[in-house]
Amino acid sequence: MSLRIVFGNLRSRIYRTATLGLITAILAAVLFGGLVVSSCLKRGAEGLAARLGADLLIVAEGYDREMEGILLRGEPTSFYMDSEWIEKIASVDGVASVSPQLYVATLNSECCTASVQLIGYDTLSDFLILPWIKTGLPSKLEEHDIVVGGMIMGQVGDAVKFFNRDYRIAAKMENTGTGFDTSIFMTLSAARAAALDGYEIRKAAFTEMGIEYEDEYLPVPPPDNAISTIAVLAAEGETPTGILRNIQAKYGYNPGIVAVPANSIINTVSSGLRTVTYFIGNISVALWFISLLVLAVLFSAFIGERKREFGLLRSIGASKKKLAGTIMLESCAVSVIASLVGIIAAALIVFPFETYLRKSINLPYAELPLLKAGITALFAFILSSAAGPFATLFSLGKILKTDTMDIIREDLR
Amino acid sequence: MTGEQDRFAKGVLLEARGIKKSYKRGDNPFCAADNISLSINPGEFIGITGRSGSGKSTLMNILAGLMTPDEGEVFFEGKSYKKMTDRELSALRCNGLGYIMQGLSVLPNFTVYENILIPEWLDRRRKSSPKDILKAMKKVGIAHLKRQYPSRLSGGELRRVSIARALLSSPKLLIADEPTSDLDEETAENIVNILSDIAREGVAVLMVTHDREAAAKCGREYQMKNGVLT
Repeated sequence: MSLRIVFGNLRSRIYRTATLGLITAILAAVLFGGLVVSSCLKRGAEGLAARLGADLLIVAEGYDREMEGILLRGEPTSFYMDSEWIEKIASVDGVASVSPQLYVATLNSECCTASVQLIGYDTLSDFLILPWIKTGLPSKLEEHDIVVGGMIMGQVGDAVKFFNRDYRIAAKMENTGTGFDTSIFMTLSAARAAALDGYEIRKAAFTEMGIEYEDEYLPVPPPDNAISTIAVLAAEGETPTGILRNIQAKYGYNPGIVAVPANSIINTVSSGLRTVTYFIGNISVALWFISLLVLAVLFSAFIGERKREFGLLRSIGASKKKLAGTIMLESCAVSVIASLVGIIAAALIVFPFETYLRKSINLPYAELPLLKAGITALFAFILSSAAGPFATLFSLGKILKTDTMDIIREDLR
Repeated sequence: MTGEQDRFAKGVLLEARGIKKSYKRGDNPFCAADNISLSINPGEFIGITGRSGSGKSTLMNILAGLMTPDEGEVFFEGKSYKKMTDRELSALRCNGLGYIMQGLSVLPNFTVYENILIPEWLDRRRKSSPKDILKAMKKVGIAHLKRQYPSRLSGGELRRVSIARALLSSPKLLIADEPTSDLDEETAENIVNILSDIAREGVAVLMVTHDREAAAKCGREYQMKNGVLT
């Protein structure tokens, strides 16, 4: 069948072509965008599970939500607990190893390059950070050395400033799809110094403003040897629940700390993720069927309008197969072009606005590798491109089964 | 050679035998063709007149292989339409049997030249040269309208486009369904003259018309009433 007839028809009926194209493009955009966001969330959740690497996280009572905020969303915050708990937890039955971390939120002011989460970790006992270092970490992390999360701007060797102190980027982590991607890591002692600097800067600011010192307004100074959380690795054969029971058995039910099993954080994410992916999945499936229905109705209406044209083509030598081929080719051409446009449009929205999406969804979000993004695009392209031709089949059936002149007669009657 | 083929060898181009076709109008059956038999020889100019709804267009569609009769058979050069596939019948309309539909028979989104070329696009084996196309256009007096779209053309010019398109395939039979309807007297006469000239050149022409004067110019004239051809 001549492509001239196909493209001549599409070109001359521009509104009809645009309507069909718009529906297909929206379908392709939603399918591709939805699939990309779902995949990024899934990867984010998988990254989180692998990223945490601990079976249990211990925080001071009342700060479990803050810790979740840091882990999942990178919300900067500072909180402390007594470092005595390191030894206490290490001595609990079933604990294989412990590693403390200190969380310090920087300020959004002149003293700091950016407002981010500083995380001090114990380089000797750490089993969480090192596996994720992307670029070569110096054999010993100095006090002014920092390791930045995958989403932090800046390269190894760049200088940054926090609380008026200069630091140098010594290494960069891989993206984990968690709040750690926007966090900065340093030695525990460097983080403690930063926490003290932060406290002094805040205190000086209050004094400068002539505000009398009151505990209510000023944050508490960090305690000596401050830590915020203790990551716990269970011994082989031990479960987080078992360790939780052992902690309660040893220190009572209200020891002033909370032990949060890592899987409960992942479960929180997984449950949120399930809701989002379920929503995206259902929307995509519903949209596909709605588009199919709308396209079928539109094609049927447009084909109905063109009975005379089809009759004419038949009268000058088009077989039923050729006629059906022309209609199908028209449908395919619109679907393929519109699907490409839809996918490109979705890509132009989803990828550049990834950071915004990440914040809006409030769930761990890991970017998609190029190959996976390509496969996703191909999948969305096939599904959306198929909708138009599939919808056309309903109308083609009538043309193939009936004498064309009978159809025209119905139309003229 | 079979008896049937032998008979066609004697010169019959198209033969219809015992054609019957009825429709339903509401709950009542309506007979559009009632036991019609007709034979057409090369170079004949045949006219069929009759009132609206007498079954003329149905008969034309059946003779062109666009509609299947309830009963009876149509033969073109000895070959029954019943034995031809849709593809073969389409190829016949593309190459041996020119059909001019009633009313607007051009595609509005293509130029005059493109409209004449459509059968070429449908059948890749056809290879008319630009010279052939121009010759067909000149024959019906529309060479100057080559690049125009149908919306710019008068009714008479549109009919001539259909005739030029049908002529391009050098058909043996040209079926024209109401080629003079909605045309003024002078234009109608002009169209009939063109068809008459075509018949003189050896192409059989079967014309359906309301116009008795036009029909009078035909070599053979039939009347159709309630599906009966007399």
